[in-house]
Amino acid sequence: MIEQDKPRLPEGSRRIDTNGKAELPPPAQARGGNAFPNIPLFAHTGERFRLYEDLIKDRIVVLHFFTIRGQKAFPSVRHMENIAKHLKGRLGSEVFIYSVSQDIRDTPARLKHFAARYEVPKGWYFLTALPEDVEALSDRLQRSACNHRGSHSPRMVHYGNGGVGMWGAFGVDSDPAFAAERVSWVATAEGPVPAGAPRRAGPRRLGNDFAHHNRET
Amino acid sequence: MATRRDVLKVGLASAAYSGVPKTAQSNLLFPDGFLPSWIYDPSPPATPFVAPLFEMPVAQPVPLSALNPAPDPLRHQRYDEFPPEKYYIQRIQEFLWQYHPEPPYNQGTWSWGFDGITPGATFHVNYRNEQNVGGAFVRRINELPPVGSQRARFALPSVTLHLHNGHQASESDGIPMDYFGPGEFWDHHYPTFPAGFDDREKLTTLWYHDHRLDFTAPNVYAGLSGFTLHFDEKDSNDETDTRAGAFRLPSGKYDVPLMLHDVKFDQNGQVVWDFFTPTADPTDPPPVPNSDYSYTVNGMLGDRFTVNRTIQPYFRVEARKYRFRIVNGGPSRFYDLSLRADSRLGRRRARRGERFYVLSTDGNLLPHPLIKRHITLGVAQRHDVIIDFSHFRPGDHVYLVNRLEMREDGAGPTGRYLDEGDLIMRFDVIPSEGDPSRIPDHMRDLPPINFDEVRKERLFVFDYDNGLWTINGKLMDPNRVDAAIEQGTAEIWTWRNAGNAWSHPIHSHFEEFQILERNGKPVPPYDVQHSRKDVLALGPNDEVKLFMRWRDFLGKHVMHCHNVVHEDHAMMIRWDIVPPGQGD
Ligand SMILES: [Cu+2]
Repeated sequence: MIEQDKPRLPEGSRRIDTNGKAELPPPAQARGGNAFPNIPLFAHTGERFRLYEDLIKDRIVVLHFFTIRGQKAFPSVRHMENIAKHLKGRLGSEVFIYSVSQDIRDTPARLKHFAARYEVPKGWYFLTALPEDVEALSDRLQRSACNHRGSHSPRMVHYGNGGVGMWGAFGVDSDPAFAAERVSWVATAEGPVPAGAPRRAGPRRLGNDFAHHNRET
Repeated sequence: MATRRDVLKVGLASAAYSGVPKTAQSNLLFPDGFLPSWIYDPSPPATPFVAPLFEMPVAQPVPLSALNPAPDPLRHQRYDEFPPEKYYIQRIQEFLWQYHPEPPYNQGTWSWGFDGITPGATFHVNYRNEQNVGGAFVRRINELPPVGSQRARFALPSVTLHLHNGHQASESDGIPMDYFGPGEFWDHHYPTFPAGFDDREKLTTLWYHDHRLDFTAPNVYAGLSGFTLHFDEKDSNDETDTRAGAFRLPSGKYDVPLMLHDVKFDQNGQVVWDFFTPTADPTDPPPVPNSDYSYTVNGMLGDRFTVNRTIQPYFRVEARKYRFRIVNGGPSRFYDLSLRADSRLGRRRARRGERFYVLSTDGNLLPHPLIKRHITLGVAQRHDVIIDFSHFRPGDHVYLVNRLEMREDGAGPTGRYLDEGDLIMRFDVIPSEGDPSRIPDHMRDLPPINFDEVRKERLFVFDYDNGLWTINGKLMDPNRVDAAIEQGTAEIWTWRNAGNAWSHPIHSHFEEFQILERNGKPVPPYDVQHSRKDVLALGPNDEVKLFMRWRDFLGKHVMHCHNVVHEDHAMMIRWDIVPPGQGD
């Protein structure tokens, strides 16, 4: 992270004082559809981050948009809390969860207060930014996620490997254990493929079978 | 053909209809202004018709002893009843593939494929004969680099290989959760008998492709597709066959599979996926700073048309009949294909040759060939056609033309037909060495529709929910059984597109279906959709009733949108075939 000092946010302000707008993507993420706006973001912890440099590059990312107000209609953060439980152990070192508010009223102070209602392990950040920056990010991801005026929280979760550039998506209300399993799919392999004969992945021997796949268990 | 009244007569309870949202979500929150990469940063130019068509080799079997460990019958339903005639090993790899001979394409494009080629080798598999000889066993080994080392960086090197419209059990089907990673293999047992042992259910042109949960679109786009062809004593792969009843369709080098994929390339000739494609050159500035980069869930379009992973190829054809097996390999584009000739004989005579003898729909031979000026292919849809080049003279050029315009974001056709259209490939006519092939009068009858077998009626509504694509409001969950179907029964399924601006090519695995009615009307008998099918192009606000059956095996399968970008954004259900009495 680039700065540890707390953001100066006048109470009730709609604008966060930053050094400017969404910046050009860093060179390592240039061509085509891979650019992330390197916007400044403010976390419920008081920390300040740059989206690409601090939060995405070289990380496994789970990112969704939400609003505090929208949790009544659809408790997306409660769902994410369940997913976070299943990611424990990997969270904060390899995997990070970003809940990005789309409601400008969700200031870092409010987010801190809000986060206290949940079990928030290390590696899960509630984030806010300038309205145009949040819009730039939601445009970059799933454009339609914006324009909710805080009344509704989107269902979509983006998950990916920021170092590699592989991204998928699932619903925040998916089975939480399975959501955590999906996140592990995009993790960078720890070493080369072991030499020798290939290992059988499946199908497994037939039997009384209630699993959702036919792989070796 | 069933009439609307027949359908209504069934009069089944509509319990399955509950839980379906009453109002379509389709008009809400659909993203607009999305700018796909093919518009803001077009692919480098490539001169059309300078690259020869890639003709995939026929896959070569290996001796059983080459499989170590040996196939294990306890892992496959009914293995001993259906011993394979041939065994194969296929290796899934990453390599540089030349889409075109000109720069930058000539340096190669990082691609995924099978044993160094994409599309992979074409499997020729025989239907089981009276001596029970037929079928195949394919061991697929994943030799892709692990996550982080793959050059096709948008794709996931964990794969599952589905044989599209194969009548195989769940464990050999390549369902989305049956994935295997680098250094692992999966065994596929293809019993190759017609559903219900009914010859009218025989399949002809199949294709195999990746089906990985959440990553099917990038994995197929990277190159994981190929053909499997089924033959029997009638469709015998021999145009000189003198046995009674043999179809004598063009065979050998005159039987040519054509796989269509539209691809977007960057200035280095590398494939671009409109999600998050890291650049090959880190110093390269973005083409349009702060432009509307977006993560598309609508579709992925390419501006380079490839056939068998060759950009706008040419193909030398003798002035005789050819059988082409055309598959729309996606990811999202729909095609309307026709022929346009530059002939020295003049327009009028050329016109006689500018037509297709349509042999099959979705890989299933029709009762009779149908003569059509154009054919429409949604993603994963297929037609076998005969083109008779004897109507042309050596030196003539015949173009395969696509006239269907797509929405820029790839979510479906606009409904407009372009005057000129896109030239997909060119056939260069040379003298013929004779043509013993025939166009049969009669091929495979449709199996009867028997409403007495119908146990249940279900409605599936296809819709959009804020970036995700839903079926009955739900997202794909492989742990949830969305339909428990009793083995040996039929059901009537209604597929309804709640969207008024986009299309979904919907596919259900394992058995073919027939259309009872589309928007209240039966399909006319000389329509190519009056057939057995496995993908249905559900246009805006369409509602289609289908007759479907499930026989022969138990287990898990899926039904999903084959615009694979929609599929990866959760437009899929799991359905299971369960023993009688255990259905939902
Ligand atoms: Cu679709």
